[in-house]
Amino acid sequence: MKPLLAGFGRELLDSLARVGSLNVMFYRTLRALFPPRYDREELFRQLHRIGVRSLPIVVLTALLVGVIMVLQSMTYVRKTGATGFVGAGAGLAVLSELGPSLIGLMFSGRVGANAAAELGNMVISEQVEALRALAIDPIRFLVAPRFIAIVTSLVLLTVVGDLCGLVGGAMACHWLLDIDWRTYLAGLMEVDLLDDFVVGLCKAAAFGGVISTVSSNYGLTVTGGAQGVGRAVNGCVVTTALGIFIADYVITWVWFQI
Amino acid sequence: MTAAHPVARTVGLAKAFGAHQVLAGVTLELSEGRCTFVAGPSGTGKSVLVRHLVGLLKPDAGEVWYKDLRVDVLDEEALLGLRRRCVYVFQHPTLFDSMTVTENVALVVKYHKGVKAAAAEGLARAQLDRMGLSRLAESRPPELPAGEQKLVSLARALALEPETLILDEPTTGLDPYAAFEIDAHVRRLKELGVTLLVISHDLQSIRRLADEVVFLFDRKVRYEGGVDGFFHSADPVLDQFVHARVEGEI
Amino acid sequence: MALLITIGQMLSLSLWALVRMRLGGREMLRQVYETGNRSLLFVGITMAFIGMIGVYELASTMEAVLPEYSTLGAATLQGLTREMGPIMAGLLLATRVGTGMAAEIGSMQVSDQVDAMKLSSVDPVELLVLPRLFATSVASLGLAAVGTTIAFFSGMCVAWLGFSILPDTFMSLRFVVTADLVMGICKALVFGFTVPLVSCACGFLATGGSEGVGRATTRAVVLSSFIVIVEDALITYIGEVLS
Ligand SMILES: Nc1ncnc2c1ncn2[C@@H]1O[C@H](COP(=O)(O)OP(=O)(O)OP(=O)(O)O)[C@@H](O)[C@H]1O
Ligand SMILES: [Mg+2]
Repeated sequence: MKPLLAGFGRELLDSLARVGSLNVMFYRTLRALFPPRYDREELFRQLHRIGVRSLPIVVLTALLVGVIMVLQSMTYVRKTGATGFVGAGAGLAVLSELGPSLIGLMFSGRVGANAAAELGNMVISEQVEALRALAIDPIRFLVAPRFIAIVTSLVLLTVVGDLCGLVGGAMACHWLLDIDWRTYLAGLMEVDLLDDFVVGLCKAAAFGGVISTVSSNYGLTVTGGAQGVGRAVNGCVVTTALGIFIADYVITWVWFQI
Repeated sequence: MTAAHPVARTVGLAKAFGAHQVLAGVTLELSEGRCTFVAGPSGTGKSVLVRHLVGLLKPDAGEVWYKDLRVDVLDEEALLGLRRRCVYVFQHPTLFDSMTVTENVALVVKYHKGVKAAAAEGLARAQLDRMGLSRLAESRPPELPAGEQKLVSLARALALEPETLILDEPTTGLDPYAAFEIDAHVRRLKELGVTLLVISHDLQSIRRLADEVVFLFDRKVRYEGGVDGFFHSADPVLDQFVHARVEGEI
Repeated sequence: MALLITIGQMLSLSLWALVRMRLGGREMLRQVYETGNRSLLFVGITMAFIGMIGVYELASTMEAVLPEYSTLGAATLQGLTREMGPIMAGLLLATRVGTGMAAEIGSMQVSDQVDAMKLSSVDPVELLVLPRLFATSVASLGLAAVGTTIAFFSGMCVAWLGFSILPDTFMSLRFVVTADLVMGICKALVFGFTVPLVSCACGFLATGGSEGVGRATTRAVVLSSFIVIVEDALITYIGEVLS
């Protein structure tokens, strides 16, 4: 019992310390963004690397999410007989909820983990110290461009992903369920999707902030060689996943309040 | 000691990592326009000492000054200003692997001179040219031998046009010719009036270049003074170091 | 390609070990405990949030499509059992456990410890992968069950506090049938088996120092999450065809 409690206490303290340092990182990133003196080329390079190269995984994920949601709402439809629900349910779920969060999760793995590993390696090989010794602020040079690139890419990718999710749903109706895709579309049109689309994009922007902050923080605090990098990546994706769902809940809640 | 002003100095510097006391009461002065060598056995904390001078480490006790600036209390932002004037070149080459040599140098130029990318490249090339490194311009750091990586690191630091330069073991692990090349650059900088602090075990370099020598041993400064005194000291520890004797305290 | 080969090798070795019943029960139990224990808090918290989000969304959708909430609880439970419980647990497992395995095995690989094992004629797959493989399957099942329960109850709180739906109304099992339960269990087991398989393979293929470890870990989380989603779509479809 005692070691269990001690372990729990240690974990709790570690988590609190981590939350603190995440906030500091977020604050310093924001400070580095204004005035906008970040490196424009680095920004474009990051946008390309982060945005363009994540496109395939995002498209595939979104298609599958659309398929899954249509298949899933089928079971509900069969029970209640509300056929219109196929389009409405799947569409709403994809746009406002599963699209952003699952794309966010995949993006966190693809980009966040990568950033943590990259920054971690720069720390281990003292390249970050070297930046500081050359009077270059690592936050401004390394973190700020990533932050902008990650948030922008994730929002844009979510737009693409939403579309793919809806197309995936139509494809599932047509080929897997023998439902005319027009029925699906009609169901989709019945509800007001714009709101859900917008809230989805708000979520995507917030997730982008979470992914960037968490990955930079874990990356820049790596200690202890190759193992340390592995641990940092692991910690980074775990914290990001947690952060994504917390942010998701907060935004959903705020959204329904107004 | 000469009458020259101290540029950088530490007063009673102490630093420990956990239970491991690395420095205890180190007082050191760099005189303007002089070339000071810091020597000492491996692991005595030479690198740790000089990192305090540019604020990369904070002391547990003692003070660090750069001219009229108290370094150890500055925040990160203020330190950036200091590091523009007083540049530290790491012991291990810390070039950015993902960029070419030119881009490595251009990065510093771009960041500090506020010029456009193309102009920065031009300036970087000129800098490499001046140091006779134009052949390396398009290579990537991991492909280069250690000596050339160190030269490029030096070129990158010089792109800042510092008034004080700290070199951490610039010739360790290099073949004699590469070491000689580095020494030639140091000599040129000395002639330009740059204040220099060089960490080195290389007795040849010390003979060739040093104005002053500081010998660090067992957490403290063991010797501080001229080159002749260093080589002909009666102190058994210095004698052992200079003549590479097996028996002794080191 | 190399990844597929490695996965194939590991799979055949594991099945062979399964046939020969060489599973080292004690080590496996330890792994089950480790995996479950390490992920429990994370999965619990995350699933609680997922449950709350899900109910919020579902309730507002129902408001728009069929303006009443009587099926909310039943639909939530069914959705959680068949779909959200297992897939989220699978994704969280990929995140928590998969990357951990890739990082661990990757750092052993780049520091030549794996080769050292081979030289002392210990089979690294048998030593490192096997216990993890079966342990994670078991742990995945447990985590999906616990996660689903937590999500359901947190959703119930939201329904109660946010939409004034009494727990009595919410707590309804009437949509959940055996088929849903079977599907949930199948998914959890399959995810629990493939996540370590893919992640360990990524770890073994790590090359080149700390950068290699970083790459392997990143690759592990992307691939294993993606495969979880693919498998989920497949199993859901198979379930749909069968019903
Ligand atoms: N960040 C750190 N954390 C813990 N210990 C450290 C750290 N940096 C240095 N040390 C310890 O301080 C001691 C002095 O290190 P330092 O690198 O300054 O030695 P050095 O005199 O430069 O030796 P060398 O000639 O090998 O470069 C070493 O024993 C090292 O282990
Ligand atoms: Mg050193």
